Order: sequence, then structure tokens, then C-alpha cells
Amino acid sequence: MRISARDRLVIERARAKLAGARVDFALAVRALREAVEETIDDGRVFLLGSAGGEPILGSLISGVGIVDGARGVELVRVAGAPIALERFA
Amino acid sequence: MMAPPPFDPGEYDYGGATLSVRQILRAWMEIDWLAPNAHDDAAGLDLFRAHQARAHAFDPERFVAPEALALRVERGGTAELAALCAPLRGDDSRRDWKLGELKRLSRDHARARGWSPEAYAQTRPWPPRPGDLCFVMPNGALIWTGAYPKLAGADDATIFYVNYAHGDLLDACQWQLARGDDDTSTNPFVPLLDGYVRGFYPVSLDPTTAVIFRARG
Repeated sequence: MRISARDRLVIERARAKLAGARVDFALAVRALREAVEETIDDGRVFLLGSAGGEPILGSLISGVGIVDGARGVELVRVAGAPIALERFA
Repeated sequence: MMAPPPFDPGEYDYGGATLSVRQILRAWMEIDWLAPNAHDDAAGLDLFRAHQARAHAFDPERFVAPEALALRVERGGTAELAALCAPLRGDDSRRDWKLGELKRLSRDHARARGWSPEAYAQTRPWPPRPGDLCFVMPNGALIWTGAYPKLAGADDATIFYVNYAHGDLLDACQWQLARGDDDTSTNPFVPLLDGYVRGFYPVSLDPTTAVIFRARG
């Protein structure tokens, strides 16, 4: 599923902060938050919903967010039911 | 197209801005999105000019005076709305009105008032409730909840526009929270919300050009 250029930039910046390491959700959220702030003035990270009882945090406009999944922190898109996109960290 | 309210604003206290924030939230929750309306085009144009005048008063360098704006009204359905919003969603869009000028406007006003969402969120009870608007996670990350309406069966263009407009709701609330009172006379986001309530959906094409979209009746 296509991810917008802006979302891709945020994701790449967040991943760069994590240096490719597998990290826990709290660190991934912090990296995402910092990347959003660097990309968009006063950018906001939203609570988009939940999957498996875990919160999905990300962009309200695109619906792309991260969740603490069974295989680690995963990238998902919320459009009704969350759709897994790829591993985030 | 309406959605059930995600929470009751009347159950929340927003300090000195309680009445105005509740009023803003209630108005937002009662919007019938993309419904045709009987208002004259002039009403939509006037509301956008009021928005521009307030933004210009706070930041005259970034926002031109309303007299310098080229405004036009376009009517259509979701296909026309999708076409109008396409440049905002494209990978090559170089300017984004809401994620650019309007976010900076809201941020600069908050900073000028010495207000921050992080400090505000720390005053809210734990666990977070939807009407608190935002909360701080234990790792310090600020997360927004907002008041996004879940519109059953909405098409992609409507979902995009409502998500896009949702930022104005949060910025309208943030403006009042930063002021700490119920005077909305300088809040540039309130006229935008009034426009949504009346069925006018603006899209800024560049700093001096905007289209006020309205649903075809």
C-alpha cells in the first residue's frame, strides 16, 4: 500500500534515530514524535485506535501509524481495521 | 454526514477557557459534513475573510490582508472535492496551508502566550480521556486524541478533508487554552469552524488564493 512522501520522510527520520535497532514501543514512539516535529512545525502524533489491545499512534491525515505488534513495532494503516504495512523497528 | 459525538464536552474543565472550548467542540461535533446548504456564497467568503483578518492581525508578514485575497466559490460533489484536494495529497506538494502557515500561526500564538501542550497535558488526570485532547506518555511523548468524527460510509475525499479540517479544531481549542479565557474575537480558527458548520470548506491554493468549496445541492 502506498505511503505518501511526507509520511515516508517521517518514517525514515524516525528509523535513522533508532539506527536500525529493534527497540521497544516507547523508544519507537519517542523517535516518531521527534521525527514528526522535525518534519512539520508543531506536528502532532495522534492516537489512531488500537490493535490487539495496543495503541496505534501516528498521522490522523494519512492514517499511518505504529503499533506494538507480535513481531515488534509495526507500521500500519488505519482505514477501518488496521492494515499491516511493514516492520517499523 | 454526521457522526456520534466522541465525548461530551460538558464533562470537561478547560480552566479559564472552559466555556469557549466546550462551545468550539460542540459546534464541531454537530457539523453535517459535505451537506448542501442554503447560505449565500457571501457568507462563506465573509467567514474566510474574517479568518484571514485575524491571522493577518497576529502575523501580518505570513498572512496577507483579506483585501489582497483572491477568493472564489466552487460547487461540486466528492469527485470535485477530491480534485481540489489532490495537490495537498500529492508527493510533490511544496506548500501545505494547514501543516504550514496555520500550524505555525497556532504554535507562535501559544509560545507568545507562554503556553505549551506538554505543560497543559501534564495538568490532566491519568488515565487520559478523549476530551482532554492530548496526553503525555510515560516516556514524555505528547500524543493527541482530538475529536475526530467516525463517519460511517464516508468516501475517501470526505475522510481526507475532515481529517485535514480537524487540525483547525485543535488549533481553535489551543488558541483559547493559550489565552486562558473565553474571548474568541481574535481566534483565527473560529471563523473556519463556523464555515464548516455552515457548509463552506476552504482550500488555500497559495498565500493569496483560496477556493471555498460547497456541496452541490
